[in-house]
Amino acid sequence: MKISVSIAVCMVTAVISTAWGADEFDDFEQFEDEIRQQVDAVDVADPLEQVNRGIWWFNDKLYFYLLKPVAGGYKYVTPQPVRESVYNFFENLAFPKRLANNLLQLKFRGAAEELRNFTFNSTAGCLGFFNVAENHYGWNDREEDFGQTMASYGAGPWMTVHLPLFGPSNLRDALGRLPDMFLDPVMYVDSWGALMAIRGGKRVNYTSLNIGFYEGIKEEQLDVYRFLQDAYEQNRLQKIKE
Amino acid sequence: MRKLIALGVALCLTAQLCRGGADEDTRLTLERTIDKGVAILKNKAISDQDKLKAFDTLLSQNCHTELMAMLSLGRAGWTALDKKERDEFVKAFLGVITRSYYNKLSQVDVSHVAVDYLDNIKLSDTRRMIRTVMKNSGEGFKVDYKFALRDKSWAIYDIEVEGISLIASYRSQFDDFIKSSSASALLNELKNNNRRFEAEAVPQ
Repeated sequence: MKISVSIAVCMVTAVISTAWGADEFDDFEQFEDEIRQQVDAVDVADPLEQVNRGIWWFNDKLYFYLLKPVAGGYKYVTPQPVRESVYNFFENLAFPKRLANNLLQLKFRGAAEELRNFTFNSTAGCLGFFNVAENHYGWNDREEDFGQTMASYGAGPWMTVHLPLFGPSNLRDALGRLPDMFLDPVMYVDSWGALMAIRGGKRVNYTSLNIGFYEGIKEEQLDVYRFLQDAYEQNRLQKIKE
Repeated sequence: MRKLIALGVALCLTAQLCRGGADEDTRLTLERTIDKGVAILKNKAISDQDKLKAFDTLLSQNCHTELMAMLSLGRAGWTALDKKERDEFVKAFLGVITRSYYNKLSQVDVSHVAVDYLDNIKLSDTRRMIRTVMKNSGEGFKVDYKFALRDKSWAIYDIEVEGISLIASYRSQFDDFIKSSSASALLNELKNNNRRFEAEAVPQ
């Protein structure tokens, strides 16, 4: 009986090997397993796929018919170093979020590094317009947000969510945006109009630095929605592991 | 979005890949490779069309394109194709990759790109990974290059930028496509896309 089973296993293995072309890649299976694991790890349930795809469609139109033209005009009249400085300023301003989430995850070294970078950039970097910490000392930000904090305590992504204006996400990270929002100093601007203007300006500035990239994705990917969600989850998984 | 740009740039910078002996250090090979890639990109005497052709040639010669194509398609898809279709798929997938970095390449000033090497990790006897940080205009991206050993030479079979794998990203899309259609239909889709891109890329 055991011999029969062994023969059967050998035959099946031989058939599979032949189908793959064993002579082509000796250890193909380990490569296949590696990629399969990567794909499965970010395969998040998408029960609201039709709604999510609708939101992606909305964001897509918003980008091409509003954001891109405005950002293009802004880019035309604003030199790149200025736009990069504006980007640096807002990144530096997001320090409270990074610090709090480092602490919540008990990453005290990360918190200390964040404090160091913020101090350098806010002083030597002229209120954060220049990222001296990274450019001169090679000190990177320790990016942490509340979505990552929840993940560090065992929360999974739960389900795919595509957010209006913000794009790909999942339910955990979408909910995590709420506490992070209150750690953003911009939130405490008195005037609602000023708040919207600052947030809009920040988005336009960021877009101006990245015009053309989304167009490239649209041209080269078979399913842009799927690609964006997949890339998002892969990136998040990496950040959570760090 | 910038991470996706970095993915394209990383790919183009490594077009000239590791063809050294099995015992040759992959890091040294990668350093040499990147230098050559940057030199081509900085060469203003070469038109965009010629750069595209040059990198297509370099990728086909030096990337593990067959392995990349197989992994992107997966077991079910690959076995569903006959020998002729598999060869066509490898060629079509190379076209997809070439187009991917070509698009992003036009957006980046490579003269501001620098690479810091972090680790050279032995994944197995036939697999290595080099971890780097690619800096573009001051902003750094983690880029991992995965190498496979074949015929005593190292060749890249995947690039991960900030955790985003080139192969895994295509694999997800291809899986979905094959579920709703077939591997042969996917092959035709890729071939059509490549033909359309080539037609659009021809200078008027």
